[in-house]
Amino acid sequence: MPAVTIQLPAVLAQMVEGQRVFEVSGATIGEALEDLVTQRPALRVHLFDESGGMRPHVLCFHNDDYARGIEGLSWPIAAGDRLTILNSIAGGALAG
Amino acid sequence: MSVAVIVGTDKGAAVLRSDDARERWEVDALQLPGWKVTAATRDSQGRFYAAVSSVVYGAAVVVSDDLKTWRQLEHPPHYEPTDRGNPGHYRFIRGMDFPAIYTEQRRYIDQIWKLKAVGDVLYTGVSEAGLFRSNDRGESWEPVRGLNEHPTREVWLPGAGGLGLHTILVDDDDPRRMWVGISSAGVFRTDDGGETWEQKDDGVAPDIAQVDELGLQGMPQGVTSIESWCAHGLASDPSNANLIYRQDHFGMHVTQDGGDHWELLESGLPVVELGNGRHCVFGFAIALDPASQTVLSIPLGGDNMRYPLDGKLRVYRTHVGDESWEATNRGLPDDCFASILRGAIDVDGLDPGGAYFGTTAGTIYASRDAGESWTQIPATLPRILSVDAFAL
Repeated sequence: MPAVTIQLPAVLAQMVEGQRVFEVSGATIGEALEDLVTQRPALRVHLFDESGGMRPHVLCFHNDDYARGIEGLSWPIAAGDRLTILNSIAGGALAG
Repeated sequence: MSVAVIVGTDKGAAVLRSDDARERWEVDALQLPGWKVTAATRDSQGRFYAAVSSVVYGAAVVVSDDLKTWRQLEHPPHYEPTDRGNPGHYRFIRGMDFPAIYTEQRRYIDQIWKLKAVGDVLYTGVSEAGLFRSNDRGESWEPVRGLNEHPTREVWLPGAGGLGLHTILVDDDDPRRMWVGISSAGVFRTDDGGETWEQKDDGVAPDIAQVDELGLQGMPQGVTSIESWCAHGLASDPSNANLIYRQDHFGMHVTQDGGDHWELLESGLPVVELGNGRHCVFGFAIALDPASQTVLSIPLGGDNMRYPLDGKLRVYRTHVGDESWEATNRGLPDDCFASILRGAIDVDGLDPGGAYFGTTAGTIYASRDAGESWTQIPATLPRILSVDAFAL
């Protein structure tokens, strides 16, 4: 299985003792994220909701490309790739 | 003896600490930066729990033994993929779902509005409204199905903040007897440890909404209007649990019989005009100091003006058994145009009783004489959502 890295945003890293970068394995983005939440179960609720799908405002970048929505989870990945988790930012009062 | 107060805000938590004199306070802010902190409690073994959430990353529970470092519990309360969401609350979820991922009317937890330790058991009240129970210090949670699958659930109507279970009261003499407040479904009571629940709103004026005007999809066939009771805040002394004070959208009430009947108790409180023309007392924050048997309330200027009437921040007090309220302004400003949210008030349980509340402008006020006089804590925080006080 290819070994790739996943980087978390600072706010999410707080929930895993500040660790920002994880080494994971998987043939697709979805498998890599599943390996991540298997290593650190606390992250599962933050990346996936009750339906099992990715939360709508969690963004995942594969190297420099945005892995869009649910379809992005099936993207193939190769050894040495970088996955980056970011969150959507928008204006408006509800977001504070 | 010392006191700790966990102040939950839109962007983290402040921890206030003092000795039992409660004259000087140390403020440790902000912990859990970037996370919305919505509730806190302490269990019988001294561990603290806080609820965190994010519009992006969902809701979880964190724990601390020293009020400095926090660890997230791995398995927060959650609904099942087969649980059907309330039609009104689902509109809130879909409203934030710009990629349009949520295509089915499922039930999601977006906030944890209440954490409460009852003996060795932990309870959480969540949005979309529901109650969960943990027997292993939060490591796992089970839904209280008697409430979560209540036969009236489909016609529970969300308030402006969604459909949330925000208050949990217990009877110290019989822990199988509990009450919960849900905005805006009403108040529910169990006498059998959560197996069955009865709605307890007799004597409180309902709001009546027309389904077609709301545009609600998925309501049961034939339902054309919904009655809802927007229970904003509840307070009781657990050792005298049948006496409960209740601030509703439509007035301040009291029950002597555990919620079987409610009566208005508004003498001395500011009656204001609401958006629909009704005249009553409006507000959210309410608490009861057990040592002095004093009830504290912070009414607001109405549902259109969610700040103290004319900007004059006042705490109103009544004693258990009295039939009127009196205002105190000692230490409180005449130019406060911020709100005080339902979770943003608490008492510490000491004698004399300490009381604490926070505003949406991030200011915190503390009293060490059961609310007769107040001092502002020297810190300006983000919007304050919750205040939970603990005698250590």
